[in-house]
Amino acid sequence: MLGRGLKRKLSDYEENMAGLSSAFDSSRSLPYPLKRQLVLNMCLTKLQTYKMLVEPNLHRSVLIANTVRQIQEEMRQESNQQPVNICPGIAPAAHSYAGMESPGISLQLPSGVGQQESHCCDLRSVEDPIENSLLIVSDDDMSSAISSILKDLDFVEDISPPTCLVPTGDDQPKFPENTGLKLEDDRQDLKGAECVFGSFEISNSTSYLKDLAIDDIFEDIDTSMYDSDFCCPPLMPPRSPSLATEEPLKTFPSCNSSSANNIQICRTDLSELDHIMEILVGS
Amino acid sequence: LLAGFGSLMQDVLWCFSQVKGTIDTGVTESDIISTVEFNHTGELLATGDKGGRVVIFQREQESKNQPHRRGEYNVYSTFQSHEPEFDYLKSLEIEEKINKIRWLPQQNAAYFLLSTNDKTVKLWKVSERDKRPEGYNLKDEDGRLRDPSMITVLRVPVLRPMDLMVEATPRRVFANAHTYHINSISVNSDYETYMSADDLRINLWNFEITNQSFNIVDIKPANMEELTEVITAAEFHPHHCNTFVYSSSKGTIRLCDMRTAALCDRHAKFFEEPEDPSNRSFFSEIISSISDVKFSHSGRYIMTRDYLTVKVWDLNMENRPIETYQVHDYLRSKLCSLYENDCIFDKFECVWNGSDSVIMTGSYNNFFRMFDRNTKRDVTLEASRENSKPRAILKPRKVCVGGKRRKDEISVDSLDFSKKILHTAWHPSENIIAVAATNNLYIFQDKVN
Repeated sequence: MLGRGLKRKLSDYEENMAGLSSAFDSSRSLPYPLKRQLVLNMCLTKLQTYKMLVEPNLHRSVLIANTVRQIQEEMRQESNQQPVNICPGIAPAAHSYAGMESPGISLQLPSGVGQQESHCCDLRSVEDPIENSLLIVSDDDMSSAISSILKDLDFVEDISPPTCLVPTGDDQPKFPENTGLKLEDDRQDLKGAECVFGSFEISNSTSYLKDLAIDDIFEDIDTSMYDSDFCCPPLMPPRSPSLATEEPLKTFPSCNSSSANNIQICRTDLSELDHIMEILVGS
Repeated sequence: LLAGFGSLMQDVLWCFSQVKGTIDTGVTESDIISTVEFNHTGELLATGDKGGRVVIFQREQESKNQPHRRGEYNVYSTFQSHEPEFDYLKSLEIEEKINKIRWLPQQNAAYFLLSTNDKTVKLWKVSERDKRPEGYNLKDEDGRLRDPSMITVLRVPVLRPMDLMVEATPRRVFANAHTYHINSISVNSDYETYMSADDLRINLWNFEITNQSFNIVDIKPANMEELTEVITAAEFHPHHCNTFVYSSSKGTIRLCDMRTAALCDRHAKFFEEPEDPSNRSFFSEIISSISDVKFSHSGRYIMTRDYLTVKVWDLNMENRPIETYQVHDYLRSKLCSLYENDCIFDKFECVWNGSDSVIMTGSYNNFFRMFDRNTKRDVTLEASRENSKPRAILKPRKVCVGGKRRKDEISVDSLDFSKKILHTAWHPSENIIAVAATNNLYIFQDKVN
């Protein structure tokens, strides 16, 4: 997810972090792209750390993901405006810095830009300790970091609240598609069914089983994802026993992160579908 | 009166009254106070901690013999509200930390409060027992059943006095309604319903019904990758039982009317201040995340707390707050370091005084700040053991931003960021405040002349 070579540098990276963030805060001469890179790497490191937790903090993850998105958008706009730079993210044009200054930091644009241009490729020598610990992060890396953490947060099986769209006194719960389920039945079964259905629910949509889930899952299952690099049998329809569908999914050790996440989602959703089937069939 | 001493607001001088908790330098994690709340009369003060315990203090009757001890708060009841749980389905531990306590208004001799952890809300009844029945026919004083054939006389059990016993019993458990972590609970002014809010949803409960709740707000996107905003706090209007507000991680507040639709996904009002371009940084969004929202007692204003400021909003003006107070603006130049050590995610709460004229919130280094809305004066005070002599007047503190540091000032770099005051409470009608400093609870009162 992060650039190659991260693992080797991780411990040095962490050691540098506290020093780097103080440098960010106190330094007036740190060029904007370097600051941005620093913040970006801090964000990605945090997201990486959160992914290792069993239950990442949703609030923080969203805030950090938004920061990465903001930086990503900025870098995209710059790369759209300029031809490819040797040092990604550094735009020689002065105007791209307008309004981007952090308080207290003066970029001294007229002379600063010239300096940064000439330092563009010399950063490695001038800011050596800082530059060495900052990794080049691609747009794809950022996107996959964001989607990875957010998907993780959805991995938690969603137990939507037992909702009742009518006030108390009316004893027939309006669960769409589930008119057979009564509140008087064993509550455990009810909650079990809701656990499963909940993950497909969009607020109180009455047609949640018709919309979202099945079609979206099948959209992701696209054989073109698996050609050449992978050799596997085509995925079987979801009503098969979950073991059989999981087996081929497990044979992709070289998946890149984005397809791994899709597969993870497929696997999750497929097993949930199986679970639904079991309940509906009453086994 | 020495110049420079004492609070500058309304001639109120804040004095140390009491401190609860151990003096040990090593803090047991479970003793960290996580919520503080006065009840509606101010007679009771409840704290919740990370260990899932609730401690309720009761104000003693003021005595004419000791007028300077203006009603001290003593322990009234202690109970274990929540236990750590393990969710086997998801392989997750559920923390027992009490996130919020909210009192119900008193309607009979017993006291009721709601306490919540990340997943489950509980209604607790706290009641006194100072009499017990004696002289049962079928059992003896130890509770053992008597041999019926030995009973020859019938008697009426009588109530005899006993030592006061305060019992806390869980009356309702509202569980299994939140996938994400509960951050707020709020009792409705109808006293029949309350709401609980997690990161993505808000549920409405009836106190009598524990197996159902109405989902009234749901901001979870169909695709979690599109998630950019979470709910951070929510509260009912103090008088209008159909109105509530919730704040978001993007610095916005939505006011909703439950009469318009069952699912309040459309807000009636949307409060957002346009971003100040001169203050823009990588951390702008993070520091705009609202950590607390509180209606004024009058119901005319809402107050929000984000990382660096407290803002007061008029319900009738959505496009900007009517007042903005800088809590610790000197941290603006330290945001990267505060991001690195996660302090930037600290969730500070804010409170109104009884007359809505003064607002209070916490900061670092065990500092807390008060802002007088009328005089526009503010003061920084500190909760520390050094200032803990009985009725000692609190000296205002000052943080030195740059340049020469005066003798009593503290420089920004010397601030202790591990000593954070996140939770404070203000007595509903008097100048008595409770300030939670990690594992200690400080109670300050205004000086009695």
